[in-house]
Amino acid sequence: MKRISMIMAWVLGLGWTVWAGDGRDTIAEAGTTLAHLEEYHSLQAITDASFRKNPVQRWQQYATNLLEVAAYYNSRGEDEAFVLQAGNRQWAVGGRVDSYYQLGDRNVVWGGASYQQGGRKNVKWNSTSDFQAVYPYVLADSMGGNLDSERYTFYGGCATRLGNWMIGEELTFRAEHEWRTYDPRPRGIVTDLLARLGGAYDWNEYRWGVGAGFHFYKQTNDVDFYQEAGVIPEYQMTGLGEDYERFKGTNNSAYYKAAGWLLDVNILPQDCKGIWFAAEMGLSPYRRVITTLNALPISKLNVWDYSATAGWNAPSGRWYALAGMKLQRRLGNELIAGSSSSNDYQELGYLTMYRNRFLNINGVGGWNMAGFETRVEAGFQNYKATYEYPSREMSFSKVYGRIDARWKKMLGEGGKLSVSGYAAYYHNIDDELQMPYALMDEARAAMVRQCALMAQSSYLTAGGGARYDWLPRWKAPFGVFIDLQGGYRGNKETSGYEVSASAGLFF
Amino acid sequence: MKLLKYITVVFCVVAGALTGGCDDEYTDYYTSAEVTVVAPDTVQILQIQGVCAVTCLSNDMSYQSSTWNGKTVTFNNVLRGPYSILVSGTAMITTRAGRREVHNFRASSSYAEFMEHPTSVELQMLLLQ
Repeated sequence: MKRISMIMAWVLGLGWTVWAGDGRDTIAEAGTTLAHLEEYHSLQAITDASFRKNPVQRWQQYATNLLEVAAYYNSRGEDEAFVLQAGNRQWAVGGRVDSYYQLGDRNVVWGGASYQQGGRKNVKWNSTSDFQAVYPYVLADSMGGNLDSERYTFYGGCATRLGNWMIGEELTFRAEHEWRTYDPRPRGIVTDLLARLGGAYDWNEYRWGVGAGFHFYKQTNDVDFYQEAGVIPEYQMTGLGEDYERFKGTNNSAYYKAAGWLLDVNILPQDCKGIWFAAEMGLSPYRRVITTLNALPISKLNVWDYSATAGWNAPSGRWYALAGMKLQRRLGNELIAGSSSSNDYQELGYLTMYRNRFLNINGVGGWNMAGFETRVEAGFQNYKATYEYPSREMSFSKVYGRIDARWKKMLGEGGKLSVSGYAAYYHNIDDELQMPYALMDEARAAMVRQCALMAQSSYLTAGGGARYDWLPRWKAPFGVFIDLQGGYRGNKETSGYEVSASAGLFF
Repeated sequence: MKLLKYITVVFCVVAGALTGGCDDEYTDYYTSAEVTVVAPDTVQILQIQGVCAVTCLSNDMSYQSSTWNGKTVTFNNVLRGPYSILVSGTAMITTRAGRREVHNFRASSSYAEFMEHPTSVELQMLLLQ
């Protein structure tokens, strides 16, 4: 009954209400819970979590159970936007719940939910939500403006052990709404679902796992004009400042649809000590369909993601190291639209006009000791985007180094303070920008120059923060925490800040 | 052990099939196009001087040529797609009566598909006084 209640609670995103009333176990574990928070917040845990995407690999990810409920606020701002299409100010305030529970000796479940409201300021050359997912095929105008948004997320998963076999499944869902209340008035409504299945077999001290995932994405996107003052043209952007000239103007209503997949393979030591390996590949094919042109699919963007990482965790638990690569390829296939009859266009074929490749290779080393941990990373990035005709190209290569450190100490009765900091420098070693400026209007040329300037600049980022967890002795079934973080990012052109604050309860 | 081998093989086959099946790149970008002007039945074209301009409807890019091979202008390496065509110039013709005359002329099409390799388009010329 308890198990069923928990699963239902996670599904409804109300896990905390159930567990707030069931405090006996957590009081009994109170003495260790505070210490065991470490396994959730340590630098190594955060690093490991980014590779444990297959649900079966979340088995034994943590030795203790945790339910955390928090309210949060985060914000960033820049004098000039690092990414023009993302705006130069962003803020969000919301609440979240996250949980991880071991149920008996055969099941692990985890889940969470969040809701947030936020906004962005001075968004330019982008009237579409989820720019990072669907670029460069976005609707855009030269005016831009501020945007409001709200977002819901839910996720939940389960890993089950059956002898030497394990199976796992996980569902992640996001719904997002973004809008503006003055002309031009873009509106984007996003639903994004990722379902993952995994299986693993324990053999020879290792857990050999494979998994598959299915990605379903939909965004409806339109731009309206309500004022009598008139309208400005909306462009169907196609990459590096180019747009689909034939359909610019008033074709302001479109939707994106993707049904993608991913595959992963991973080999982890059963006791998490020793050499491990994880690799994943996936495809998300985003079709952009113009609603007002009788559902004309004017572009198909195939986003390929590849990653492979190999690492080593020392038997002592004090050292770890890993090396890996991530590669994203974006292939933009654009429709050759034929003759039209009453807004019904022939589909003559497609041409792959836009190509983009972003490669990141890195190596990480980490060291833990009582009260202090540090992590050092060095890497190389290579980015290249091309447009077939008129020929355009933007590329850069960077080398970077990053250091993280975290210091923790029991402070006060039932309290623990952890202070962390980081610094990273990304140094540009090579770049290229080729544009047919003679064919571009002034606004378009300025936009491309600004985007290239920001992408190709060397930059520094640094920050730090503190988190205080307090588990009171007055028999409350929960502890409280407050977390404050701040950071700086700057290049020779501009600089910006990032701040985040969260506070809540943990059980 | 056999099972592990089986899983590995299936994974590789599925990954390979999906990779090969979905990585649809369309790289047949360019073609050559021959634009030929056709005279009315009653006249015969002796020589043409003029400009043929083709404009790609997809990206509004224009190409122009005034190099005539008889009644034909050839564009090498143009992006495949829908085009509009405008030809204007001067033609020396022979009438049915055998008289040699010089006329300005125009020929145009608001839509032509440059998709085949090569593409041939014929336009009816309009003789002006």
